[in-house]
Amino acid sequence: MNLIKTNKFHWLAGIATLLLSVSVHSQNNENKQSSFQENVKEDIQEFRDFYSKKFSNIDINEFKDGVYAIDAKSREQWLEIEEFAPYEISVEEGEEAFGETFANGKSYIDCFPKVEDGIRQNYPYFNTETNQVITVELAINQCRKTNNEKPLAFGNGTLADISAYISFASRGQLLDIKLPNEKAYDAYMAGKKFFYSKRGQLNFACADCHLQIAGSMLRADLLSPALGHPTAMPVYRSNWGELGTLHTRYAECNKNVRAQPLELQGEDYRNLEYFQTMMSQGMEVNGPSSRK
Amino acid sequence: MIKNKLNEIVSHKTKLLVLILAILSLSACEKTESETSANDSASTEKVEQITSESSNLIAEANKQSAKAKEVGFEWSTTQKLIDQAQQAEEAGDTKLASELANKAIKESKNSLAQAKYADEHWQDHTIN
Repeated sequence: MNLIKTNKFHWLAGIATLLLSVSVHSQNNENKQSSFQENVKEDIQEFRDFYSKKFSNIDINEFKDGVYAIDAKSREQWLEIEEFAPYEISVEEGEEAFGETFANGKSYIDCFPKVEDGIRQNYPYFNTETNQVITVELAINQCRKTNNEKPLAFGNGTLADISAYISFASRGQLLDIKLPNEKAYDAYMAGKKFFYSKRGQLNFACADCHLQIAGSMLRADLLSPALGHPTAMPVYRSNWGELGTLHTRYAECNKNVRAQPLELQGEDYRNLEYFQTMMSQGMEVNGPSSRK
Repeated sequence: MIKNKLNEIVSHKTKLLVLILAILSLSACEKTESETSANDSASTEKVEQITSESSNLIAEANKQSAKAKEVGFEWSTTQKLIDQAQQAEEAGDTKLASELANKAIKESKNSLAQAKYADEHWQDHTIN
């Protein structure tokens, strides 16, 4: 009788310990999760506060217009350009390309069924299965790959056109970027590190031009704030004479400080986009756009 | 009779003198040729040494540049210097080739130092 009682006691004690350890483990995970979620929330707030203080007369949501939010004269010219927006043809061609039927009978709509409701606001996202940041442009090529089609060149051309169509269909939606787990936080931190790291022969970080001295003149150009950059992508730049993606712009910025540009849609630029878009969380998607 | 003998002796002596002079001149000539050949060989060796020095520097520049590229901090100016060094070497201007390769090595080392600094200090530059 006593032996049975002792056995029962051992079983109960074992189960209780197991439950306790599972609960502690899950509690730790929750704490960790909430801790990096909190860190990112703080980062977003401090990022916004920085620009609010620097440009105290500008509403925070206006930063979606980039440099035209902070310079009235440039804004006037830009609004006139927007009347006959130079990216309109790209949007039309993007829509046409999006409607293309693949050799297997499927099309982009099978990969992006909600495109007309707007999907850009959820990009980039962190894929918890592959543990990588997925941008709109990468997703377009992944869709092609899944359907046995050749990938498109990153940066400009048809891929940028399709991206422009996706942005256009998402106009007015608010950026809603998720941070699902600790690995996503690592990617976010890698992007943050890139943003603040000085590079190139001129020893400049993204933050130097687009945060610390945003609003200053650099030769003939007014430096735009980093807040809101991703809302307006892809962008038609007059000096390119065509539409390009955010990564094309990253590569150009790198070249300007005499750093060798990195691979378009490579891990470094995707993580940077993840960080930068997270900083613009809640802002309105207004791409594609035109810039000088 | 005496005059004839005298003439004979003089002519003999002249012949001997000419012969000695000829031998001496031949020997001198031979010496100069061997000196020239030695000089030529030393000079070729020196050129080869310089060429090999600039080639080594270009190889080192490529190695350092690859390291900078690996960490994502390569400067856009470095590869141009290496290409120019390569061209100078091919054109036989080994001095210029070495100078350019040395510049490229210095740039790559600076970009690696920049990467190290970024790794250790990037958070000093954040607003958060």
